[in-house]
Amino acid sequence: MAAPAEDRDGWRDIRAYLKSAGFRFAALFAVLFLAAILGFALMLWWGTAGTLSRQLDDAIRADAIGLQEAWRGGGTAAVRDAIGERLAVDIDDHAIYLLMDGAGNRLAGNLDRWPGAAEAPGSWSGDMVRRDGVAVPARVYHLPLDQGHRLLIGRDATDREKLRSLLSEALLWSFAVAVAFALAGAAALRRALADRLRAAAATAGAIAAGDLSRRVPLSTQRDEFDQLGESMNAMLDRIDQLMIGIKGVSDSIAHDLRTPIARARMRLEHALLTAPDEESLRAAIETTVADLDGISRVFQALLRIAEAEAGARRAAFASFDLATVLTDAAEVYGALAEERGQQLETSWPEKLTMMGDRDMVLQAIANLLDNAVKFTPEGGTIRLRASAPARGKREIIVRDEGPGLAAEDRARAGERFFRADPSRALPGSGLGLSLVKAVAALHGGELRLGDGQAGAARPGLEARLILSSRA
Amino acid sequence: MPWVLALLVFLPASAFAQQATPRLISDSPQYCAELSGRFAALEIEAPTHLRVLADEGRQLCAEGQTRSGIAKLRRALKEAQRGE
Repeated sequence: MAAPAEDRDGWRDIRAYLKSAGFRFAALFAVLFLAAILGFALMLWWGTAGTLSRQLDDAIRADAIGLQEAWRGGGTAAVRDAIGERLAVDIDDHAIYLLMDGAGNRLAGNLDRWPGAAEAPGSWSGDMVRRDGVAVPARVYHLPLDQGHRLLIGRDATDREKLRSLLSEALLWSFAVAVAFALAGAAALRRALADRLRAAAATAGAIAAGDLSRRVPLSTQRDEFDQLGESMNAMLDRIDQLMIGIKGVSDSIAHDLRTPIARARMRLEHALLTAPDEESLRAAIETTVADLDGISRVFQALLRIAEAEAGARRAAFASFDLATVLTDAAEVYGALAEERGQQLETSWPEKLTMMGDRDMVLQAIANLLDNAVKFTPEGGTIRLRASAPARGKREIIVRDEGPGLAAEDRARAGERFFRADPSRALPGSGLGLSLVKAVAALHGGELRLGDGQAGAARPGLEARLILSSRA
Repeated sequence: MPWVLALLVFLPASAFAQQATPRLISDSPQYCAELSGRFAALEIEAPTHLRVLADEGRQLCAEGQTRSGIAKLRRALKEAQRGE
């Protein structure tokens, strides 16, 4: 009873084999190889046997034209003489002629009767004639004349048929050898493909099974398969980095949001248990709502960073004027700076067109200005500048007069939830520069941080946002 | 005896086919004589070696080797016509 199941498995294996890319490539190779051989055989045939046939027909045609002229000039007698003369000097003994009148009487030539295959006037035919009792192939042409007369002109085609026969045999053998080579080549090609892909398939299988550390082994050949392997390895490295990033974000969320959520819970619980009146309870709830709004903002910021990093908004890229965006941002933060006794100095060209996500760029500029306002002391100056330093580049510089960032903190400034020690006392989530960095990457640029005034007691921070205007 | 029946059917058919196939008649003693007559018209002006060639052809025809005789006579005729 196991036999039918085995048959089904066998049939499935055969179908899988026939559908495999290796088999299809191998079959394509075999077909192309055989097509090339067939083309070569046809050319050879056309150049040899074909040429011989055409020469034979040309000779008969020329002969027919000459005899037709003789007929017009002197009728039966002239044609009879012409045939006699032609046969008399036919050393090769290849010529065939037969002149008959309307009544079917033989008038001249070296054939005893009219061949059956050449009945139709103007027809060409391959017929057999007997020479010394042996049937030999002949090529004949039926030339109709006036008054029911007709003339048969032909040539012995034995040589042509011999050549055809020899050529056919040689080509048949060649084709058989070519088929054998094509099949052997196809099998070798399929095996080579399977061998080269086996390593990549094994790596993919191991990764699917959970071993993310595996990589595709590369050969020294540096061919297309190695390029595919390199691409796969680069993809796996990227996935690895993203996994580490996701883990880091998860840890950060768990660590940084646990405290405010726990605080909100405690405040509500405390108010529930100890609030002396409705007024106190309401105040506790309002504070908690504000805390929860802050948590919500953090989530929104995280989502925007994730969106920018994933490049999902690239489809929404459009041309916009960066100068207008800077003006909008300066208007909002200029007022805020003024409230805090600071000054905002601005400078950029009248027009700075670029391709990108306007909202994201505005958000990034706002984050930089927000930091600058936060860290600049009263009476300080914040500078917002923008320019096109090179073709296809846009640069936005925000410089403050705050405490600045230590070199080791600058390296970590783009990490989510990272906050340098001096800023821990100030409000913030540690996501502002992460978003700026993500927006820079989305626009094919980068964020560079440096001292505003190197060597000063309060060096300040200079954030240089470089974007590609062509995206 | 089906093979006997097949033989009876095949033999007449084969004989008929042989009869129906046109036959070349330019290898007959009569044609030999015709070529000899054609050469005789050119013989006076023909060089000696061509006359010898034609004689050999006539001789072969007389001995029954018609095709070889005809071939020699044709060569002699062609050479003689070329010399004219």
